[in-house]
Amino acid sequence: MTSGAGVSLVDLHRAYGGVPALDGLDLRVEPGELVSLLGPSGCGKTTALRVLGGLETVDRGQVLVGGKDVTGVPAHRRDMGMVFQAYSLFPNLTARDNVGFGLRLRKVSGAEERRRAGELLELVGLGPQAAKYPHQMSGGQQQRVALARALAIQPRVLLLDEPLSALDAQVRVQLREEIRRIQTELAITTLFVTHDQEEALAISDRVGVMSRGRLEQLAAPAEVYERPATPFVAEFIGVTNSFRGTVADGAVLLATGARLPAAVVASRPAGSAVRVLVRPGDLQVRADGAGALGGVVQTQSFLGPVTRLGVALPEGDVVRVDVPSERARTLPSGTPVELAVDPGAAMLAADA
Amino acid sequence: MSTRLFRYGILLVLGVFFLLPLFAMLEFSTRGGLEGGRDLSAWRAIGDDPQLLEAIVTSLQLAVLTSVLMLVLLLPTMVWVHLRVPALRRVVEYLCLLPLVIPAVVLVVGIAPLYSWVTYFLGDSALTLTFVYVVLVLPYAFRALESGLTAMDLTTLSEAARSLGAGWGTVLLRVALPGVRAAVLSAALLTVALVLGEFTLASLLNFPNLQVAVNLIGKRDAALSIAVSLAALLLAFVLLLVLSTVAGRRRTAREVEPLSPSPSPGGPS
Repeated sequence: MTSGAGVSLVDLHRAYGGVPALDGLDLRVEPGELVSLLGPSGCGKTTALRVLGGLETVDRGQVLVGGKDVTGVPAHRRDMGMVFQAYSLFPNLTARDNVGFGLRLRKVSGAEERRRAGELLELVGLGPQAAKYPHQMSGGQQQRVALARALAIQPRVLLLDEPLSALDAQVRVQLREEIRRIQTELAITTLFVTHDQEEALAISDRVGVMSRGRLEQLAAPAEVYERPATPFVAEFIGVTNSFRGTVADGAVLLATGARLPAAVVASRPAGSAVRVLVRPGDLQVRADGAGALGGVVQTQSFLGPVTRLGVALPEGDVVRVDVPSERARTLPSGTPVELAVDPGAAMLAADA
Repeated sequence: MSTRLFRYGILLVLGVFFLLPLFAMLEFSTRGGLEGGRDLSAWRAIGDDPQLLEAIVTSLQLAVLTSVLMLVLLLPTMVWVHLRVPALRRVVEYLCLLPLVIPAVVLVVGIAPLYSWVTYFLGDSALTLTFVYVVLVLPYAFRALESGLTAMDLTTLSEAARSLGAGWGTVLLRVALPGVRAAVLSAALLTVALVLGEFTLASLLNFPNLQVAVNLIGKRDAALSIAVSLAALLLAFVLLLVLSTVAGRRRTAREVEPLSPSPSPGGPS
């Protein structure tokens, strides 16, 4: 029914009162692809989306959609469907009329408008709710209608600005899967902005991690998680433990005298100060005393299949370690443990 | 129990305070001359005095014209300020509230020379009072519209409309206006009530509106002038009652099934 256009953001610059929100952002989204922009607040991800939607202007740079320069085109002539974080349905219109709003502006006939609005409400699973007003619908339902409304105009690009962040956890997961299903079905180019990394990693073709107005890495979710391109990405994505020490023979020598094997420091001169990051899943609790780090189990957080242990090291730092929940039952608080780390798992931190 | 008694006591005292003068007006305007008894001749005479009828029509026309001009000027300005230049909100608020602190007598001293130009260009119709009335109702209309505009998430709604293809005109007419319908109604009715009761400016600028006519009649027929005053008061009261009922009904409907919270999460699931 719809098919998307490719999008290129070229060297975008935008500053607010001297503070740069976009600082030379380059991003290419292929036709039909879902790209998420992820980053801490203030990293420029929402600004990037709003620039693409025509709701913000840039100081410098170019926005290309389907190969055409649309940098100066106003929002209402860009043909981009947008779903916002805040509920944005027109309160005086029913769900059907909300979905038909953009069609009416495009002078689509009444019968055709009703047909298409009905079709899209069916697509988002709200066919029977067509006659309801926004205040008669739940938050999740309102965002579905907003999605249907954005899709109704057969947009060239779909822009999603944290559309799930006002919803409760269960609805959020359900709706994000639905967004992905519909996006794949319609093959519509989509830019999805979120601060929730789980969300971004779960539904995207590629994830762009942003920091200070620039793209740090743009890659498939697994790659971003497993092979972060920059120390910032390594630290931002997922939970990490951080260890500070000096390089000694392919390992990091911690202040306590413990040796943490880390392949990434091999190229560093011996004796230089480094900080390495290790994910909780890459540490193993050893019963045989052959680990690199000794400590005592302090806390346990049950996360379903795994339990995250907080292991206190002798100098007071707490290291987070994921173990199968069944195993965790044998490691109550106060149990002394040894932790081993896979030499290939350690990543270099930003300030290393 | 005692607090309840206290509450009813206050209600009673206030009721008497407000209703007694009205009752006295009704009593006076229906008094039956020397022979005593009740007599509705003063009320019937409202329809017989051509000057009075003309003044009533003028005041009603002024009420409509002032409401329309006020909305045409104020609503787009306020929407524009909200969306594009929020830094100017304080300035606009200050300007709109100014007429509240300037007494009408002072206002008329400043405006009288201007009106010699107005009458020069537009003739000496009493309807030219519309201009000064728009200034006079600004504080009330501004407050009503401002509360309506801040209650809706105008920024998000207008951005949604624009992304769907709406230009600024469409945003104003199809998004902002329906969203502040209750506030527009409230601003318009406040304007109507104010214009129907306005005396000072019309009198000092020598235009015959309802209150000026009532004042003149009072000099020759006290009962008729009281009857007209009471009728005008009741009309304004009925208008305000209609407004509060309409606005109240909307509010209750939303309370039963909560209105979508604009920036904050929540809502029924």
